[in-house]
Amino acid sequence: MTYEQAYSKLEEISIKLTTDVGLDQAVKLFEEAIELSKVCYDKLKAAEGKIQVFKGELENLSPLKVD
Amino acid sequence: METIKLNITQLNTIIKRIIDAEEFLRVISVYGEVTNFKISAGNAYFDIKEEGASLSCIFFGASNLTIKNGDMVLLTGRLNYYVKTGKLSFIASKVEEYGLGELYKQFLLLKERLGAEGLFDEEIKKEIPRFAKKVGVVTSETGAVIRDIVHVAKKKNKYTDIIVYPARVQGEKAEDEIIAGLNYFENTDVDVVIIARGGGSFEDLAPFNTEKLVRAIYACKKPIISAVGHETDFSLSDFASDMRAPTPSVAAEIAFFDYEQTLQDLNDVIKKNIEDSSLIISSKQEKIKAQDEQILNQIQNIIGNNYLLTKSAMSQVLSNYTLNIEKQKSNLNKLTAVIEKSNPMNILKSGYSITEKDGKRINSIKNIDVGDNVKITLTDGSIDAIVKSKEKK
Repeated sequence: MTYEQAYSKLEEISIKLTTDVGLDQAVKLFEEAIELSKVCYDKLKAAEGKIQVFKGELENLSPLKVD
Repeated sequence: METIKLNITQLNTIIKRIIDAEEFLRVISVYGEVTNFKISAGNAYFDIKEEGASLSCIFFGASNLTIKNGDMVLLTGRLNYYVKTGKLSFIASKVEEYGLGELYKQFLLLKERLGAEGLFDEEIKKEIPRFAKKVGVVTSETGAVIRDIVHVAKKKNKYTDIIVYPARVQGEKAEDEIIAGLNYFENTDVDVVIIARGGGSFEDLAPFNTEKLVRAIYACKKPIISAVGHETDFSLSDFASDMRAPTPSVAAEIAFFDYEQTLQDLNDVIKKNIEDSSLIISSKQEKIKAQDEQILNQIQNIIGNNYLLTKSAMSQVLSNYTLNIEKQKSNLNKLTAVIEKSNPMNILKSGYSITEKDGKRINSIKNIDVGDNVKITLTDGSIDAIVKSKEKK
């Protein structure tokens, strides 16, 4: 699942919870929402981690030395 | 200033002294066409002329002299001015035929004809390679010319091979031998060919002025440097060749590149290229780095925004969920209240009771008989009773 898919599902659940869903269904939806938000946060965290790696690589780039 | 007055003898004597005093006039060569030739008392008296000038000449003891009017001659001798007659004569001590006139004319005619044919055109000149690995030389194997060339070659570059094709450079066979040399080098891997000879008279240089040699040079596929005679001499081979060198030494200077200097130049060029490219690279690296950083910032912004979005979506979920639960709870409460209202136990509080038989609620006397055991439930307990009688309303 992509970040976008997870995020839009989260939005859908949020809207669904404002309608007349039953309690069991609400609980189920809420549990699903927590899972989805976890997916979103994990993906964001991974992206952030990659940025740190790139940043490190960027720091190590230095102009060619000529003797 | 007062004018000096002289008699003729005095003036002519002064003129004679001036002429006699001039050192270079004491032995000198002059050439021209013989005219007014006559022999008198065993001496020859004649003039030599060219267009616009003539000179009277005397040759003493002319018994063996074979010249005649119209001949081109080269006279060597001195000038003599006669005080008595006020005349100037050239006293020739040596008379030579001066064939150059005719030969030179032929040379010019041939040059013009071959030139008109395009054999000397600049556009057909081949480029002399800058870095020859092998140089062919057509010249005499003895003499100063080959020595000079080898000397220059060794000085400039000991790695370029030099191949000498020995050829006579003077006399009848010279022309064919020089052409044979060109033909020989045509089929070798030499990069350039030098044809050379040292200085000499116009006649000496004749083999380098022939049509056959010019055509051979024209046809040769190798670049040719011609170095014939001294700096002031021009031969047809010079015009036909891809380059003319004023002397054989200069030809060698051109053909053999300076090895050490070339190495030095190469090093300089390489060094400069490296410096230039490292400048370019580092400037490009800086640009890329700046761009990378910009991209990273943008990505970080995107991630940050998405964190916020996710967080707000989730808190929305939580709030909607809470609302949902609250709503369910309130529905339940309402329902409970309704149910509570219709709880029969509440009725019992007002003194009503429930009669049951065998666990079933009795709603009518039809369902009960006298003597039946019944259970009567009140608000605070129950009574077991036996039905004594029943009466219909």
